[in-house]
Order: sequence, then C-alpha cells, then structure tokens
Amino acid sequence: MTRRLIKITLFMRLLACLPGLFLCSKGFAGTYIFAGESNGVDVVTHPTSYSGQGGTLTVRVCIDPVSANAAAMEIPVQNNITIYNQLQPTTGNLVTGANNNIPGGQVDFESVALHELGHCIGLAHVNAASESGLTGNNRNYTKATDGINNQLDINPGADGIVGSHDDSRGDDVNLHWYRKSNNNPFTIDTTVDSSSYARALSDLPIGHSFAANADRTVASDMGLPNTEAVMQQLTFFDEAQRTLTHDDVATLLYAASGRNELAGDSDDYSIDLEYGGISNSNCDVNLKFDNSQTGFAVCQAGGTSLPGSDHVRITSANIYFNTGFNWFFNTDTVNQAPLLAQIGNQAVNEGQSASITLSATNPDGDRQTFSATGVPAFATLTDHGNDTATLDINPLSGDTGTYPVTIRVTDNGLPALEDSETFDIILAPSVVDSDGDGLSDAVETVLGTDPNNADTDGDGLRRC
Amino acid sequence: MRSWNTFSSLTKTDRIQAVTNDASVTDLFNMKHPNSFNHLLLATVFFLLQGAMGVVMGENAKPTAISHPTIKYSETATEPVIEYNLVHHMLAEPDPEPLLRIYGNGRVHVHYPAYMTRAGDYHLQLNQPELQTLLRALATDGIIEFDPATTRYQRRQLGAQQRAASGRMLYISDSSDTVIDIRLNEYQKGPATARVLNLKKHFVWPDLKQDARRFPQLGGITNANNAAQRLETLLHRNDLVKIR
Repeated sequence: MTRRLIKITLFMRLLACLPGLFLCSKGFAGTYIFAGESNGVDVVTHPTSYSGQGGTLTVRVCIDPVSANAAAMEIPVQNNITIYNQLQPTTGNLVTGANNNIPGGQVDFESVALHELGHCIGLAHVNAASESGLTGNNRNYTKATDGINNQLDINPGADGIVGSHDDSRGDDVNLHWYRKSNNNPFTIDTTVDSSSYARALSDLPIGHSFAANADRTVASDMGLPNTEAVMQQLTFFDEAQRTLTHDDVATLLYAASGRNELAGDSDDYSIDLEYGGISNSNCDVNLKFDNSQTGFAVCQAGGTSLPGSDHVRITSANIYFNTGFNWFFNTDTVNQAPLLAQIGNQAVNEGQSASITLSATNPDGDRQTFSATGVPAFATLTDHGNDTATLDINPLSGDTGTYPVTIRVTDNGLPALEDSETFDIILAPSVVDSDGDGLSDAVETVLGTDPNNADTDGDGLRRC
Repeated sequence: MRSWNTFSSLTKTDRIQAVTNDASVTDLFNMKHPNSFNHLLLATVFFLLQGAMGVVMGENAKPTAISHPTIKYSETATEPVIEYNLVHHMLAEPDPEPLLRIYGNGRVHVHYPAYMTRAGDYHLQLNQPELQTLLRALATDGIIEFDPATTRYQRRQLGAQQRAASGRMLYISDSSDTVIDIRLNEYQKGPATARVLNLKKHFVWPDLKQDARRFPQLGGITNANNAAQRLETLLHRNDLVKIR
C-alpha cells in the first residue's frame, strides 16, 4: 500500500534531530492572544472562521489596495503565507549582517510581517514583552500574569539566564504552553495536544521551576545559536527572521488540536493561509501602511469566546505598518518544496528484473537529490543528477516478500525542503506456466483447471 | 487570584508606564483617586480660564506676573524644556535620542534615527513668545497635571464596559509609547494653587493615538493626544533645516 507523505513538514518533524542548520523537531508551544487574568489563563485562540468544527481552516490574507507600498508587500506577504502553511520548525532562523539581503540600517518588512501575522492568527508574545511593564532584558522572561501579589516576580535562577527553565517566578501564573517531557522550546512532539503539552507548571519535568521560552539567549545556552521564536517581541534592524521555530509551530498545532485539545479527532483543523492579493474582498487578515494606527507595526485583532470553553475565535484582524521607517521589502520568494512524481507499489516476480524511473519537479528550479531508506539488498538507487533517478530491482531466488521503501527528494534551498513517498516492493514467487496459456500453474490450481493443458475443457478456445 | 467577576480588572496592574517623576505635581492636584465628574469639572474650568486669558492677552503675549498658568524656565541653549519621543517596543536597540528637543532659548532640534526615512538632524528657531505659547498649550492639554493611575483605571473600566457591551475582546500587539518630558523652573497653574519649583514631568502612554480614538470620553487621553499632535506638528514644519 502506498503511503504518500504529502505533508513534508510532518515528515520533518518525525525525523530524529539532525546536526546542522535545520533541526527536526520535538518541542514547546507558546502563548495565545487574549489569554490572561481578564479572559482566562487557559485561553487558546484560533484563527478567523474557526467554529469548533474540524477540517481545513482557510484564512485569506490581503493587502489593502489603498496602502502605500502595496506592490512591494506582495512577495514578503506571500512568503509569510508559505512559511505558515509549511509549518516547518527551524533553528538558526536569525540571519544578520552579510548573511542576509537586507541593506544596513533597514528593517526587514517580511520578518516584522511574519511576527504580526502570527498575532493575527492567534499567537501572543512568548516573552513578557513591553506589555508587562518590565524593561530591558527582563522583558525576556516567559509570558505570565502577575499572580495574587499583583507584581511580576522575576529571578533568573542559578543559570542567570532570563526565560530559562530554572527561573524563579514567585506566584506568577505561567501563560506559556510547554512540552511536558522536556520543557524545551526548541523541540516539538510528534503529537501536539494536551497529552504532551501543558500550561500549568505541575507538569514540568523534575528540577524545572518555570516554562522556558524560545528566547535567543536561552537558545544559545542550549547550543542553538541565532535561534529565536518569531513570536518573541523585538526585531533588530538588519536582521532577517523569516522562518518559524519549533515553539511557533507547536503553538499553532496545539490550537489546531481543537476545542477538546486532543489531536486526531473530528474537531482538529489545519490552517491554510491563502493569499488574497491586493484586495479588500472577503479578507480575513488585512495588511496596510497606516500611520494613524501604529508608530511602527501592530496587529489589531478582535475576538469572541466559543461558548462554554476557554477557546476564543478571532473575528477581525488588521496589521498596520508605519511608513516612517526604512523598510526592506524582500524580492526573493521563499523556497518551495520539491514535488516527487508518484511511484506506487511495485510488483516484481522472483527471478525477474525491473527498473523504476523516478522524477521530481521543483518550482524554484533548485538542485535536487534523491535518497532512499529501506532499500533491500537486491535493489539499487541511482541519482542521475538531473531531477531523475532509477531504482533497479534484481531479486534473487528466495527474496519473496514485501519490502517497504521510502524515496526522498531534497532540494538545496534555504531552508532545505523535501518530498517523499513510501511504497512497497512486492516480490512474488517466480511464475511457472507449464502449458503456456498465460495462467500460472498456481492460479490454474486454484481455478481447478489443468496446469499442463492449455485447453482443459476441450472447447477449442485457449486461455491465451 | 482575584475574580474577574467581583473586581473586574480594577486592581490588575497592566503596567502602562505612565508615571510622573515629580510627586508634588500629582499631590498638587490631588488626583490620586478623583471622582471623574470632579475631574472633568476641574478640567473644564481650567480650560475656560485658559481660553479667557488667551483672549485677553493674545496668543503670543509675553506672560505677566498675573497670567496663569505661570511658567518659568531656563532660557539657555543647553537645557531642554520640552522633549518628545516615540518608543517602538517591537524595535530592538532603538536610537535613544528623542525625536524632538526644544531648548530654553527656543532652539528646536529634531533627530530622526538612521533607520527612519527622514534620517538626520534638523533644527529651527522659536522665539520666546512661541515657546511660551507652546508650553501654555501643553499645560492646557493637561500634560503637566496628567494622572496616569486615574486615567489607567478609567481606561480599564471603559475597556471592560466596551467588551461587555459588544461581547468582543480586543488585542493590540506591539505598542509604541508616546513620551513627553517637560522641565520648568517654576509652574503655577492658577492664583489659588501652589507654585511648583523645578518641575520635571515625564509623560508616557502606550498607543496614545489609538486610545484617543477608542476612548473619546477620556478627556485626559484626548488632551494628551492633542499635546502629542501639537509637538508632532513641529516635526513637519517647512522651516526645519537639515544640519546633518
């Protein structure tokens, strides 16, 4: 049976963590807008149009036609949409100086828009941020309410790192959904729901005192330089932050587990951000340069409670930017995933050979590499280096059986993306057709005909 | 944990950083827990008095001993009397220099950080009557008497009322603070009020423009926004000269 893994991101999450720039996941979730003392600390916020029913949740993102820079916003906004739809957790997502394409002294519109779009589909700051009233580095403590004493209690713990697992927070009430097994925001669980994530601190691993957040200093301390959640407040000029971290992805997936906060049932949804173009027609999220609405950049969202629950649905979402800044509008499109041509199960008889041609396309024209796992000894994969490969199957006697094989094609884009398919090589016993009528002896035995007589019933018609 | 139902968000500190650095200013107007009606009445009377005096004296008239509010400041070129800035919390490492500084000699210095489209330094010169008029207008706008705690409380109450009425929550993600600093040698609001010496008023309010739109019934916010717009106007004057 063919098990095609269309969701590349899912596959990536299933992989064990790889060394290098982009690690595969297992991790932590962040926080939700509207969560707090007023509306409830357990609030989980969903994008526009979620009503508690599962399925695909389409969120249409548009650029206001009267906005300044409307045309320049198109590629960055479409890149944002691709990134949110890919849901691929990355590390090393902070790219500065000569390593990005942002001229010195400019602010990357795409990075800021990615952050604000996150707010407008339900994500809050993972850190205390400016709304806490804290200043400087103290704003990097994990998002929390101030508890009974009406003041945020902040102490970085023995490691001295603000926002890490050993922070001492007094009676502050954590708002950050964390991964129960490791309280590590740079990993993600294969299942993201209430079985694997929690907000209450009682589920923290032994020895941890508070939920850690995906702050860049915390990341660096864990051996992951230049990594920070998109939903961490703050952007430096001349800094690109255009891909999501595990924390960002986990927060979205937790909400997508639906009202019952359990993955795998009927109220789950998947988010499909759709680019609505420069338009104000049927838009769920609108982007506009409007100096009367913001001094820099902001998401303004309205929300309403889903009755009888801690869940909130966004009802309106607008993102505004101020024209007074040297915005850099990226003109490079984000890497698109390769598409592997369908392969399907392959049946080969013992003693016979087969050669399967594999091919893949890539919207960006990136160089692609084929690889395989589960290939039996009697098969060989040859990558021709031209977006095609061949899987040669030469079984020997005694190889009869079913062999699951995964073929993967990976591009060289940034971040590297891949497509894969798992299929079966079914190796049947060698075929013996003693009377040459096209029906194997085994089949004729089952049918009750004579395997040694091409015309068993003597009607003058032969099977062949 | 407090109950939302019993006490709403009254005592929940949202830590809007609107603070005064000069306790005497706040005490002077006894605004720690004002009745909102009295507050409005006081502001109205103050405003009418100001208007009447403006008519009698003319907008550019040099203040006399009997004019109120009484405003005195150092007229040197080195001491800023007014500073105005916008602090954007989404932006890391913002340029610490304020957008606008007005010195006691009337010199106006405008500074746009390198990451802004108008990057550079500009100046223009106000004469003393212009500076006096500006300061009196800011006083009329209520910046000097602005009571952040009371206004914050009123804002939260109104926000809760709006939410209850509409059944809708509102979220605003990344705020920008409006910051206004005023430094005076002497300030007396009216003949019956005490003189304040060495006044240093530090006004900070997040998303002032948006709050003024959302809560028009909050006079303190509306007036503070008017003050900010008054200073913002200076940033766009045609006679600004770029000096670097």
